[in-house]
Amino acid sequence: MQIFSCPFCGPRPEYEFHFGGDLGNHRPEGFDAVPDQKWADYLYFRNNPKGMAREVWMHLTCGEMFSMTRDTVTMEAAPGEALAEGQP
Amino acid sequence: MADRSGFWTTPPEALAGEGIVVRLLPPVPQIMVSGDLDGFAAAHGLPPPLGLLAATAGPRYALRLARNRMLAVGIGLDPAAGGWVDGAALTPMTGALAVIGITGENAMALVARATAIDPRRPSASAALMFAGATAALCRHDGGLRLHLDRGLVPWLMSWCAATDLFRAPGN
Ligand SMILES: [Zn+2]
Repeated sequence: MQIFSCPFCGPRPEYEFHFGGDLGNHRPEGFDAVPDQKWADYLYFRNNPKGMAREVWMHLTCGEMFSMTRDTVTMEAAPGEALAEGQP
Repeated sequence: MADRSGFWTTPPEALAGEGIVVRLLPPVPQIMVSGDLDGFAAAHGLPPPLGLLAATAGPRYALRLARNRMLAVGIGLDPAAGGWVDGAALTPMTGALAVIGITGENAMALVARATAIDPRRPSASAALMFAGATAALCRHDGGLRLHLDRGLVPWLMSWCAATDLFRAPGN
């Protein structure tokens, strides 16, 4: 069982977490003015790095969204970092 | 309307095995509090909200569910009085959350089957995934109390009954 670490709850088993996508993949602003390629990048293209990945994860039981750095080769995961400002 | 109640079995509301009893308790007054937790606790004389598997006793306690949310136990709330009150959003949860008592010297054996948490490691939130369902778990009066969506009680009882803890030897 892999253990991930929620910034609020601390270490918890992996099945309590849900993947939330690449960190920094923000929804494009501007609606109609956003070019098709930009929408496609946002919706369908993933960083998919070999090695260090910066990702958004959610701890399902407490609802906290946080960022996590994870090595996609070794599966090692650093403790999650809070996304909310001013939180540890 | 056709009576389809006979299509499904009715799971029991209590199960007993060797050194373990799991029982649905009569409704326990509960309020979900989001926002100013300290202010609500001070106004109602509640102790600080407990984390995972923390020990408490008696009818009044609070369980931390998230960074800005807790479950106040032992205090009821008229639904009309809910909503945004003094910096906190209050939701009556007495009907929504069932409380399951797990007692006996083998109580933790059920926890071992239901979750992969480390029971010796404290966690700020009492919320966890228990047998696949989101719930809150604390130690209470020497046993355990599981606060769980009331609609999932039949599921939890069926799940418990399927473990070896409640089967007679040889069955
Ligand atoms: Zn958490």
